[in-house]
Amino acid sequence: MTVLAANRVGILAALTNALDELRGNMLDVSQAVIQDYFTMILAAEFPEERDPEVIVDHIRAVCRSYGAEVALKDPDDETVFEIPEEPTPRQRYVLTASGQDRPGVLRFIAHRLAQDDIVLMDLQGMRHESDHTFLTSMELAFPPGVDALKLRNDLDKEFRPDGITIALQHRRVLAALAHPEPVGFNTVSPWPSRGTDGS
Amino acid sequence: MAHNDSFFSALQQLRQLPLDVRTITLGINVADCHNHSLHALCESLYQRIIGRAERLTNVCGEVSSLLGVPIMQRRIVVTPIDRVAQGFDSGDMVNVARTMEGAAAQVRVDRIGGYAADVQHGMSSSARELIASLPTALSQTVRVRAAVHVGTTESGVNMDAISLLGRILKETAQADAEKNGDAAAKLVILANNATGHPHLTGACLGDGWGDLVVHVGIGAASIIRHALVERLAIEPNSPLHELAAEIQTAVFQSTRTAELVGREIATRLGADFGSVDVSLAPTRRPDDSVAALLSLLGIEQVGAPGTATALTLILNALRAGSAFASCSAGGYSRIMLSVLEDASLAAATKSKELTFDQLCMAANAGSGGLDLVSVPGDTDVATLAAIISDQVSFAVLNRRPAAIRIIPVPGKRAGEGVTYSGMMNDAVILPIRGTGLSKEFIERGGRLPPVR
Repeated sequence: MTVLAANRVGILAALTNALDELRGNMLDVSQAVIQDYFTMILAAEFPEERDPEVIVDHIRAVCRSYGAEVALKDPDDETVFEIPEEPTPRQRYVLTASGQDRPGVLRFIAHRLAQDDIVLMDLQGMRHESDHTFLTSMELAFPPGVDALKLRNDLDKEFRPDGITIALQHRRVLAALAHPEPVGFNTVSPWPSRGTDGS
Repeated sequence: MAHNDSFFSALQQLRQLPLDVRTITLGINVADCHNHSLHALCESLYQRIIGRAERLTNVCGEVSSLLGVPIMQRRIVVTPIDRVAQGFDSGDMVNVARTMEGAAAQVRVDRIGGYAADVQHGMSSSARELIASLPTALSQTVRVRAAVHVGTTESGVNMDAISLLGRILKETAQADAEKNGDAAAKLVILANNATGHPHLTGACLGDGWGDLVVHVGIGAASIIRHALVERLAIEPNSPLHELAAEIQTAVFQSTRTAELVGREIATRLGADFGSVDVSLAPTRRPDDSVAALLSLLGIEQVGAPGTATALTLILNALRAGSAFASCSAGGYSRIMLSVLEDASLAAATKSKELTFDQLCMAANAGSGGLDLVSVPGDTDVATLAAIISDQVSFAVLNRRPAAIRIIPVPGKRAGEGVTYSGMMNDAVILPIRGTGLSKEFIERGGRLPPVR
């Protein structure tokens, strides 16, 4: 389910009220405030007999004063998912790109990642209006055999002439930098994995 | 806005960190390769090195690709050869050095250390033969690095050995005259190296390590420079303690990364993880040098008054940062003023801004002694020995390790330029004041008693 609404105090309270009244239960959620919009993507379960139209109408009604727009999908009805029998073990990395903004940066990166069968797990980005610089950071899951050093160098070669810097760091390196306990305690499996091997 | 600025400033700080690993050193125990037959000794030494290190280069490549951290150099160190090759003459010793060279080339490492002798108390016949073989061994090999350990704080200094090394150093340079005495750069004279400092040139597998051990070395100059530049961009008038804190943080980050890399390599090779060493060693990158850091701190030229203070500040921050980052930080940290490997120091010799005396002073504040300094080829043997013994005495008195590399460049005088290939930069030969005035002192020989 996705919810897009005006970002004002009380929106989360209204939304959770509506879910509660529908006897829904949140399973996974990601929320961000983009410009002036409150946005939320969530997975929730509802009683079997609950009609999807009822769910959407009820949330809209409860969150009317926030102008909420709701979209609902049932994963059981979807045909676009490919579920591999045995998930490939993957390594997690964080890629950051920053510098002077220009069109096409993300497109180039995304194509390059797709070539190497790299899966995007998380993406954040932001543009500074004052100096037209941008910063984007994405969490990636690499299949075995991808040379991270080469990927970084390729991207660096592409973007350096435009003054855009690229950094690619393994999750374990980030964990080693972020936690003061000895290396080895924190760097084996830093994040609970979501269908991928986070080691 | 989706994200507040602090989230991004945290990312911003991480994004450009020049994290890399300067050296991966694999220590291999070869003590049991000893044999009375030279052929059998060389064969088993060769097979041992190949057997243990053949995967080193590939594993370094794999881990480097996996973690996205470049590894600059791969090295091997073995048990000191004066213990392994006993009962041979200097000609046979040269064959041992060639065997090490062949094995190192086969497994594609950059350097192999352990062609070393320990003479702090006295000289065994094998140590004497090894030292006598140095001019030939070092001029006929590329990767082999040699070391002679001449003294410690607790046991004193073997002045006979230093006197002999003055001559050997000159002969070694002479044997490689067409390369401007490059072979002498491969010989390091060590003091206070009791446990076998695994990160020095010519280091050997010291006592007390296992059969196979991985050490990791970091050159922290670029990450420290990065941190200082960022800090000074925000606050140009930062006081020294704030800059020290920046250095400490940068060193923490690079130590953490290097330990992660080192442990992963050790696991894949089935080796023990040894130690992490953070040193300010120059790299091929421009501006990766101590001189650049000193200039950021506000000292315009190495050797100017204040240099010792600035070096002390950097060294302390280096040690504090690495000690907090890792339980395996070796405590060997030092600042390497390797003149020929450091573009800005080499340039300073050319512009005559850097003198031999200034270098000696700087070398003894936080550094490990004179490193890769080229001196006139006609410097007499006693003066060379006296320069070495001065550096060793400073180290012994201050209870810190020292590693001294001096190149008496054959046929060149003070002020002349000298050019090297490979890692080393062009420099100008530094004049030494008071040459020939210490002959009687050095020729007395004997021992310097322990420092109490």
